[in-house]
Amino acid sequence: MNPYLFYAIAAVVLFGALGVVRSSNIFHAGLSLALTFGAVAAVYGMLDAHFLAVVQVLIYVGAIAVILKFAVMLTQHIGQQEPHAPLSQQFPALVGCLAFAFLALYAIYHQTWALAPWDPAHSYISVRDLGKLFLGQERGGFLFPFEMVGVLLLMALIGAVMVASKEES
Amino acid sequence: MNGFDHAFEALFNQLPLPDAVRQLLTMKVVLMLISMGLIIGFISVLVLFLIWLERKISARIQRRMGPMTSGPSFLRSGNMWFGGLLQTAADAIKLLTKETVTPADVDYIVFVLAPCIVFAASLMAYVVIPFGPDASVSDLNVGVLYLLAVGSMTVLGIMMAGWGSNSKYSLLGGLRSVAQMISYEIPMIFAVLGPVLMAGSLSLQEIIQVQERTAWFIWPNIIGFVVFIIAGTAETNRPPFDLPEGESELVAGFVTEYSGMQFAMFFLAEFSNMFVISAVAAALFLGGWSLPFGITQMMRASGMPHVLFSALGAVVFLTKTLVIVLILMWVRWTFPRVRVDQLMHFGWKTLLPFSFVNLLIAAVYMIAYKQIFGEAVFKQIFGAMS
Repeated sequence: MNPYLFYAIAAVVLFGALGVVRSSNIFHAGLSLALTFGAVAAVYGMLDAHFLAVVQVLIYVGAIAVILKFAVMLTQHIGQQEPHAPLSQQFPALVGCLAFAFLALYAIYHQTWALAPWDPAHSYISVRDLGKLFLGQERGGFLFPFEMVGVLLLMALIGAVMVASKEES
Repeated sequence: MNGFDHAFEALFNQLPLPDAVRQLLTMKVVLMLISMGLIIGFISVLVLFLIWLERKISARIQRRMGPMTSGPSFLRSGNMWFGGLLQTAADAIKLLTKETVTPADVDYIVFVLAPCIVFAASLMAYVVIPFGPDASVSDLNVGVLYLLAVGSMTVLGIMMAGWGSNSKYSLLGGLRSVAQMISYEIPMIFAVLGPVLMAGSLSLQEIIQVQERTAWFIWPNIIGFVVFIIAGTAETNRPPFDLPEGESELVAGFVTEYSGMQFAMFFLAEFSNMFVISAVAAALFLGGWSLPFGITQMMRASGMPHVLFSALGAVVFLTKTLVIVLILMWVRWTFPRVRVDQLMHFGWKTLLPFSFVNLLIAAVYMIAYKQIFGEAVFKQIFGAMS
């Protein structure tokens, strides 16, 4: 794994994330979010998780960013509003963010992570193995979470249809 | 080994070159750049040819003659079929020399980036297209899924075009186009799942290799083939699904405010996408670069040089793709334009159930095959799909 390439992609991720938070035009913020998702997909690709990288682009960039843009485009005047935070709120927010960042970094660096050594020769997991894991019923298998996520998505879909039809009538 | 870069590496290792030049040319980055250059050159010539073909076929269907005067002089006057061969080149030069007019109130970054993203997404799809055995730029293990992901990037670009143009026609056109594209992505995914299920792999080269051993996947998946062609037409905004660019309703939809080179990029991206959809349909359903009845296996066993085998495979693949391109062009002038509510109805209520039925038929076919022909033959033909 080439460290320089990783730093370059991480720079793009950070640039996109900063663009989301600091952008005054909400459509630009949505585009920066799509850029962040794309760069994270690149990181997944570098880690030999090809399936995850492609699914990240397909779902996050192709669906979630598009839904966000739809919401922006269909809401009147949202493009002209600029999010303003009064200065009296900005300083406590900064302090809160720095405190959280310190806490998170402390937790990450003082944890002994149980990591397996990186073996580039065997790091690639094929889609077939992923499928078998998804349908596995034994201890390491993900059948139950997989089905639960499906039920959750179904509930969300039915709820959305109900909310939308109620608004029309 | 798969890939143009390996082929070029083998070529450079065989040519008598000074050592320093050989070291430079066989670097991974240089090989990748050469493969990309090859693809971009191919796309340029291809799109010129396709646009001319479309204009000729549209003309002949409408009982007129199409472009006749620009081109080699021996083809000019008497020949109805091949006249005007260089018309597209002339059009391209015209578009390049036009002034790029940017309206005052547009969101400049978004406006300029949109055609770039649409064209880039279209270009990215060529990475996994299997032109021949061992002749794709990079045969990804998740090739089919990669194509779908790249299609979603096109959606993003069109939304940017619709919003960034700051015009009501563009906004409406952009919204309609995005609604159409995301509605027809799902039947397309399910239609593609039939061949993926039968081959047991997402890699396009492997799907073609399984079709080489058994029959073309169109036979159990005929419904899926039709669904894929229809959904692909909708995905690329081709008529009869060209409401977003509807000339009579929305001026020009999301490309209203674009002129010159930017318009050319959208136009080129549309034809390039049409080729990608046809190529993917040929690879998934029509057997790609392989010929039926075991001809390809005979060719492979006959010991001809691998370059010749690859070239013949590429010719077969391009022929099949051209057939599907001709079908898409034919459909353009056969059906009237679909209205936006008809479009949504059709996508969600008709195509989606049909694509589910196709997946069911493919699964039943696989199970029946295993029962009838036994496990050993099944494993041998369908590879590691057990």
